[in-house]
Amino acid sequence: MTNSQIQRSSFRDPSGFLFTHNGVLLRQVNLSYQDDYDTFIQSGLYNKLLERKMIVPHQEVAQEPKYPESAYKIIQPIYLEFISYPYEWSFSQLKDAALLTLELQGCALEHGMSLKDASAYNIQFHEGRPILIDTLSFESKQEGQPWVAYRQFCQHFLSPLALMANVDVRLSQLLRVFIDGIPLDLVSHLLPTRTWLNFSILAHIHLHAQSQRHFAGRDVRKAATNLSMTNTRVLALIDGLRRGVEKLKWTPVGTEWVDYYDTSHKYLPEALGHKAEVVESFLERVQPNMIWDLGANTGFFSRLGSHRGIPTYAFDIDPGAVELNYLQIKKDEETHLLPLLLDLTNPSSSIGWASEERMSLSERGPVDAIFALALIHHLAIGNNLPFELISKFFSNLGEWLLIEFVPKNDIQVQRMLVSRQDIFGDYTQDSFESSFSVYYKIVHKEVIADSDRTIYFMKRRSNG
Amino acid sequence: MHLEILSSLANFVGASSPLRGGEYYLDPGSGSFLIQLLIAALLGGAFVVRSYWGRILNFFRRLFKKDTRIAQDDE
Repeated sequence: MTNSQIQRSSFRDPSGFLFTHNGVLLRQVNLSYQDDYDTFIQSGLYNKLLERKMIVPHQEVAQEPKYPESAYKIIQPIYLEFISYPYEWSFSQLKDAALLTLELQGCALEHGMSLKDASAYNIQFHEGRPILIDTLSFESKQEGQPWVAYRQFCQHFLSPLALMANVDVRLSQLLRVFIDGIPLDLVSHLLPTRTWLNFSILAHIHLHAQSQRHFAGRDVRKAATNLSMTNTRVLALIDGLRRGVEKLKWTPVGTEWVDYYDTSHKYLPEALGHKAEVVESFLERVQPNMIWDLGANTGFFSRLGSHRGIPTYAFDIDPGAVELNYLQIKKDEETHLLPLLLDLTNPSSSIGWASEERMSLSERGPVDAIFALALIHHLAIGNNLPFELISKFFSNLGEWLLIEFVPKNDIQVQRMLVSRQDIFGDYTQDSFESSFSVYYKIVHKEVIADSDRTIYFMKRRSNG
Repeated sequence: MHLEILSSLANFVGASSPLRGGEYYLDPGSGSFLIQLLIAALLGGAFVVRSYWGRILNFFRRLFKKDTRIAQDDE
């Protein structure tokens, strides 16, 4: 009992909650949810979703409940080693999560059930694809009942996708500010007038927002008594939403890093090949359980990890790079790589209720190995960060560091300094080594063939 | 002004079935309820047609095949 802890994000649902016991993640199913849980299993809905890999598998376990007076069962879902949040997803990741939610609702309806919420936080990425993690999301559906999660679906999924497709892809960051999805009236204001001609956006966002404002707090039952929500109509709504979401498109042209490896001439083929060999030898030596590749761009070096079966997370600041990486992962059916959006100078912080509901990046670590390839100059020169602060930050994220030092005479650095005063007297290889040695032990270093860059293998000091 | 139109559309569209009052895990929002009913009612007909489109097409194909066969017999 004393080594159980309720998950900080799991408190709103009276049907049950997640908790850890002796380090194992478990879910208590409350008595209030007994009928729905039994229906979920016995109707065959759970098995169907399992077959189609749409939900996390779970097992019923004989575990002492944390609150026995309210507990029906304890289940153990599979453990996801990394949690990501909708504001860290690229356009297609969010779109796929939205389509999955609609497909879940469609399957549920076939079995007489319905999703009682449609939060983007109920979806995680597992083995490269989106999956539902909230096993207790389904409730029995009565004929004539509307979809109670419709509003949440529009705010969590349709809102950000419509903004990304029609205004600017960076607007997904509004999901960090609005923890329950972007309010429809705000989205309606931000969307261009031409979107009033798009039936789905007109209906589910613009008119929906008007309707919310007009009927706020009013009892609409009288107005609605002439309307019924037959099953066909619910299916029609889901189908309409699906078509609306499918039509939303965004192509990553023109973002800064997308053409990085193609047009940039900073790597001669021999240099690239040698760098890859060095990365491989690092992996051979360290055998990490997980890799965070910071500034991964489209994941060229991340794949050296993921192709070895090591779960790898490819973080980048550029939505275009993350998007291209994800599209390639889908095409190749990669299962060990997940790309995510991250601005290292302003990483995801812990947000939500009591600022604890959603974890910051650091709280989701530390991991075995961090890659910081072709990155240091962006932080030190691009963002004026001292080496020591950078190394301290990295040392909190992971035990091993694979880092590339990019000297000042490198063409990329020269480009950065073209329109700036060179105040970076300290940006030298010696200074880099001595600053990083405060938190790390330099285990190995190697100069990359045909370049001026050096790659280091560093191991975090135990007292650091 | 839009909302008066919406309300009359609500009355026009048809069958009666009271909204079930009450206990929802999420606040569905009154406005969201109403707009959902309207949209679903509007989409309902088109959805049925789309779902049964194959059968509708086949029906007409068979109908025309019958006509041509009758025409040939007459010759």
